[in-house]
Amino acid sequence: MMRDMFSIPENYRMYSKELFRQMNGIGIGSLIIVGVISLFVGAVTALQFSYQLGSTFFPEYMIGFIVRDTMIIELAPTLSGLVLAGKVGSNVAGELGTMRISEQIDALEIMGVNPQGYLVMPKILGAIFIVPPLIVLSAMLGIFGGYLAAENYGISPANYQKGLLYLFDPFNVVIMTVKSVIFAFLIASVACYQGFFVKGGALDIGKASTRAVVFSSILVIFFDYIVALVMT
Amino acid sequence: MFKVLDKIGSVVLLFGRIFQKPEKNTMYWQELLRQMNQIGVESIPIVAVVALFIGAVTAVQFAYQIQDFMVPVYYVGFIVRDSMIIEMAPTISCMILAGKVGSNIASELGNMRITSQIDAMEIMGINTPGYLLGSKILAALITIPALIVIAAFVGMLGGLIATVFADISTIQEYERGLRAWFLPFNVRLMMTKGIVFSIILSSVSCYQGYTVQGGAIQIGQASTRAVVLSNILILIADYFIAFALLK
Repeated sequence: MMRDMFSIPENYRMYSKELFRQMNGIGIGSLIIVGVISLFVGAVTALQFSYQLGSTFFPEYMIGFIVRDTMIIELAPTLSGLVLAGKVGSNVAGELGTMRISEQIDALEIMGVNPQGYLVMPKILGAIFIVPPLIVLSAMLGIFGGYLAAENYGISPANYQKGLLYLFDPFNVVIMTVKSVIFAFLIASVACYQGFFVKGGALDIGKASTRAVVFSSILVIFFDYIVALVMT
Repeated sequence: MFKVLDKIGSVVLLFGRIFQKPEKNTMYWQELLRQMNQIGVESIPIVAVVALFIGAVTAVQFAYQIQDFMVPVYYVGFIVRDSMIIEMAPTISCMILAGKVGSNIASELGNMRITSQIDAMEIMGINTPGYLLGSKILAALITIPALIVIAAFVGMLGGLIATVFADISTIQEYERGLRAWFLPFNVRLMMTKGIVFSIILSSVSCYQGYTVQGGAIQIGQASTRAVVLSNILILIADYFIAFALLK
């Protein structure tokens, strides 16, 4: 499937239109859920670190520092990746599975369209283009959520901001971007594979979308570890 | 506005019917055990694998974060233990379970609804919310907290393997960190989260699956909605539990 994807497009207009449609579906469609989740994750991180560090000798502004680094390195890419695996993964697998069961994919093939190229490639490319900006947004909202929670908890905004600016390593953003590109590729390609090769009936579509979510979640966390090991 | 009230009313009525007296205790008991096997036992491998890697990632990344500071090495064990117990084991496991169990439940119930099996049961005099939804929610409530305990344990093991493998600290130092400043209250926090999250993810996906209307495409949409909604609700509940219990 991956090899057949890279044939020359029959009609560039058609492919670019499909690419933009997928970028809209995957990216803009997930904007709200990723936003809400990162806001709350940032808030939880701030709250729980204030609680964890309450018994030790760390200064107060460390909360901002820890929320920033945890969001950028770990939580923004990984949690958004898991949520996107749930949303985009089961969506893509369900869509392609329905097209396979209702023989739309065979119809495309007969019309001379390369189904791997037309259906699979725009989804994977679209995910790779649109997921990294989504994750940048998620990191930003997470840090903002941490700010709100810390203020609520009794940590002054000035201290939180001091922590945010404290010892910033731009390399962490590189780690985040590498992770998000890898996760985007994994989520989209696993879901496309599971959906594209569905056999059977309606029940099997549901199974394929569950499998897509499970496999891509495991792979996201597995590659999270690999990236962390290689890049740190 | 009326649509929202209508929705709330239908949810309340549906879940109210769960608490009716079972028609036949042995049948409900068997269904409960079957669901506990499906939801709990069959999810052990995925939860364990995920927790292993989460623990490893937490250890490696925390070691990377603290390398500029004068923080003693055994802090890695301390942080891995606390992050796993307080946050990672309940939240990440339940998000993974929302993907596996949630979409499974929603598509199974949706399929039964579309093929009129639920109507057939209703006509046979079975209280379908009690038999189908109640057993699933109860099974999730019993097994998922147990899964979370396994996840926390395996996660600390993963942190141990990662620290020793990446030469961050020795086993003895990691163990010292594991024992430092242990608060038994954190375990209670973890169990509270586990109970709340398991109710959320099972009841959301049961509702989404039970109320499917239409055909095969709608089953897929219902299972996507089940996963997305339970993920969002889990993280919102996570914040409020942390807020309420850590004050």
